[in-house]
Amino acid sequence: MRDTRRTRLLLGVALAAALALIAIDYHDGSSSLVTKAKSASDSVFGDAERVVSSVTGPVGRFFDAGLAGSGSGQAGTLRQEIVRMRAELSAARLSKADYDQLRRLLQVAGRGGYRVMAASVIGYGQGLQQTVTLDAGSAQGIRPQMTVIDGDGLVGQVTSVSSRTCTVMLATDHSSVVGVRLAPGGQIGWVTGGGPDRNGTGLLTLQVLDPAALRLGAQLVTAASVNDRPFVPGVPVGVVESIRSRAGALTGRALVRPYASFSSLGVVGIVIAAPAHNPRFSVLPPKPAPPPSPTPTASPSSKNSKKPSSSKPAKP
Amino acid sequence: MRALVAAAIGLVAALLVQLTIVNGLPLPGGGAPDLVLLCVVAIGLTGGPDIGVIAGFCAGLALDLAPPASQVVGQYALVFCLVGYGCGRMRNVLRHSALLAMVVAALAAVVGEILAAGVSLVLDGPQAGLSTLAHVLASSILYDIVLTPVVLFAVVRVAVALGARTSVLHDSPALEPGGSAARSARTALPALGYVPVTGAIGWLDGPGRSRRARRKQARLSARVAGASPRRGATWIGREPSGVFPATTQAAFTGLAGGSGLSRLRVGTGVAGSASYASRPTPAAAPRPGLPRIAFGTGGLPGEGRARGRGIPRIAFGGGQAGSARANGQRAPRIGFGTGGLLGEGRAAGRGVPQIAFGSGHAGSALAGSNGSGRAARRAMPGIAFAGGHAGSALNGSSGRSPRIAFGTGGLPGEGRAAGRGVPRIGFGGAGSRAPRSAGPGLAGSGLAPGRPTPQIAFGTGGLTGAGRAAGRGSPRIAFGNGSLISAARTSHGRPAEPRFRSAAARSATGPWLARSARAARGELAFAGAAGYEHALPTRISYGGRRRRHPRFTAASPSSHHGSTARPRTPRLAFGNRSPRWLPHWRRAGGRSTVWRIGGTRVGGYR
Repeated sequence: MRDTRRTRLLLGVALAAALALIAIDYHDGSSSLVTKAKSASDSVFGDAERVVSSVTGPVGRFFDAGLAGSGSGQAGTLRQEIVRMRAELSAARLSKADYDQLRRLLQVAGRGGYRVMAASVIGYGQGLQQTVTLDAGSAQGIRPQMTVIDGDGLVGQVTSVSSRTCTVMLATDHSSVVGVRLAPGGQIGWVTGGGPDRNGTGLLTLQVLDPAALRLGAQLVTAASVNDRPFVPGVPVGVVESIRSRAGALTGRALVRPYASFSSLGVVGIVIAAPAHNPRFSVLPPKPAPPPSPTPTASPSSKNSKKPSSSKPAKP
Repeated sequence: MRALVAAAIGLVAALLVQLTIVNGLPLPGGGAPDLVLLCVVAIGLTGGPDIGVIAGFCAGLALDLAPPASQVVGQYALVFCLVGYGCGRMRNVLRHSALLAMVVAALAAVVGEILAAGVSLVLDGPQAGLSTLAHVLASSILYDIVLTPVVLFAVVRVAVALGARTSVLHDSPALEPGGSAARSARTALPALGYVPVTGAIGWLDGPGRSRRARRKQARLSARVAGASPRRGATWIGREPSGVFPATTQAAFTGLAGGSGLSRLRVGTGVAGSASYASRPTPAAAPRPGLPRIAFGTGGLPGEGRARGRGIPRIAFGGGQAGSARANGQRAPRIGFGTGGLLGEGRAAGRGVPQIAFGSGHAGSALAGSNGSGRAARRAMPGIAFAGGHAGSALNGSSGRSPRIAFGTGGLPGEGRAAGRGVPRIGFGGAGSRAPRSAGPGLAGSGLAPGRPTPQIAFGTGGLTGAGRAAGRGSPRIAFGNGSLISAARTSHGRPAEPRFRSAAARSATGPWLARSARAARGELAFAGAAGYEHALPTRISYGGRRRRHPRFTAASPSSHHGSTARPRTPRLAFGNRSPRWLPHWRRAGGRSTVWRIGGTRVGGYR
């Protein structure tokens, strides 16, 4: 500490610069200074993150040779897609887990008719920020406010794009709002994030305009947006887990468990082109069978379903 | 430069690892360690506040701008530059103990995390529910504490490999040129884990840059060491023990450039380069009576050797095992062993050591046989000092009688001029005892109850320094000490003009004695017992006229020449003579000491 005057001067200058940056960015979120700095750092650090993740990714993941494929026709075309995607993602050697994720993604994309660009997560947000960085950028046709989906459901939306990377705000972010429709009836509501997904226990908060429509276990899909930005319609969002409405409130509130597992994101897809027709609820996974009711079962529907199966072995 | 590059590389690596791997790990608790923060903390601790501020700001800005960031830009820059600065200010913990450094780094990381969470809460609003926030923050802090030693160790190793020394003088206040109290201070306060080492106002401050700061430092160091330093004076001795080897140069750089304290930087000169000696005087032989004064300073085995062809009059040995050896061909007149723990003053020489000091911490006296301060020789030590902390006695048991026995400084200062011979001067040293100059008397009362009359009796500082030259005979030398120090008045009535005037009311360690050849003949005249509160009620003077007057006196410039210095009882212990609430310039002794050697002013700030 030989020259404390100089040190204090340095500290003062650094503090002033930091406070000035904070003030500028707080006041005007899209200030040109900050956006330029961010785009520059996007290109620099984005490439660095790509390199690092390509090096460390396969090491950290379990690598299993072989890929078990299913045998239906749809899976066959999807397998071709997988091959094509593999060529695109040639820098990263996908493990079995990634292949599974990719396959499920393409299944969802196929069912909904979305055209997706597969990308992998190369960076995660610091602290409590719910953001990730993907290794697809404007060079691959990514634009801001595109939907990002997973093999399981909605992940988020693209907020900023650089040439080779893009930043995605997850659905669990506090400032993320997703318009949704309740599954059977199509009631409109919106889902906001609840913070970091602590070991898969992060829940979203649903608010519906019609509180009476809330049911436990109701499924949600994204509602259509204007020009399909930021959300394309029909993407599965989650399942209502608990209802929190208060009597007399304007909206009904509920807690939603999202389909996508935000703590283990690997391969995600960015929806480049929206489907021609609204898939509505077709992409949703089948509802789990309801628990057996205590009443005795002598319903005709069960008898009819049992008959052909029981008669089958009788007929050769 | 290399350090900057290495720091930049380390920070970038930490940033990338954090953003690509660590943030995505599903750790239990939900939080994740902050490697960038840990790196900033470690770089601040090893590099200092400058590098800490720069590294913190750049790392925080990078973390704010790096791709998956959505917060307001500048938050992490603000928090990290503060954390880096704070760690830089605490960098001395690295030199004290590793455990302390790790604790400090962990605390800094905790503070940084909490600050970052607070700032983001303020600027971005609550990102999560309160319970979630608490869980995430707690687990993050836990992971940070766990990873702190690893990161700190790595950064310190890299820093040491790049050449950062752990004992750099210029940036550690703990390693400023400490005085004789440095070593004593270290041992006096071992429990603290660190020492407000001499020269430091506080342990975070550097060397005093102003007069006020220097004086404050001198006061603090004296208080810490238990010595009673001259107010406003410099410190003697150099680096504390274990860090730097003692410089063996014993010289007094009176003519070196600089002002004030720098002139009195002991140990940096050449032996014999004092004002008279370095002048191209035609007199080849040193003029009689001129003190040569050689200082040996610093370090652990501080030795001050007054080598010279001429007669070293005064040899100082500073530093820890300060052995002031006036090894010369001739007799060292005064040998000092100052400072440090094992201050030994040996006026060892073939000639007649006139004054041998043993001062310092475990100030061992000049023991004739086994004492470190030895005026051991066939010749007769004129003055034997025992100063310092455990000021032990002076056993002038070298066959002859020590002329003057001092017990100075320290806590149980005892100066005993124990000798079979006739102790000429008996001193009462600091503490509660005054030396007894006759035999091993514990509660020395400064008596020289030898058969002959004690020539000089000192009452010196400390708590209840009572020095009485109670003798039956006529004391020869009268000491006036403290502020209103009179000159040493000779018996024949001519006031001795003190050469060294101390404006300090209460001056420092022990009287500086300039023995001349005549001292051996009993012509020693002392004026002013610097640092000691007591004036002698009696006057002692040696017979015979003197051309040269003692060099060192502690007398105010406007000394009251004839006034009998009234006995002053020290009010406070450890040299803090005046109430603390007085402004520093109003306290007694606020002015510096001006030394004159041969009429030429060579030192002092004023």
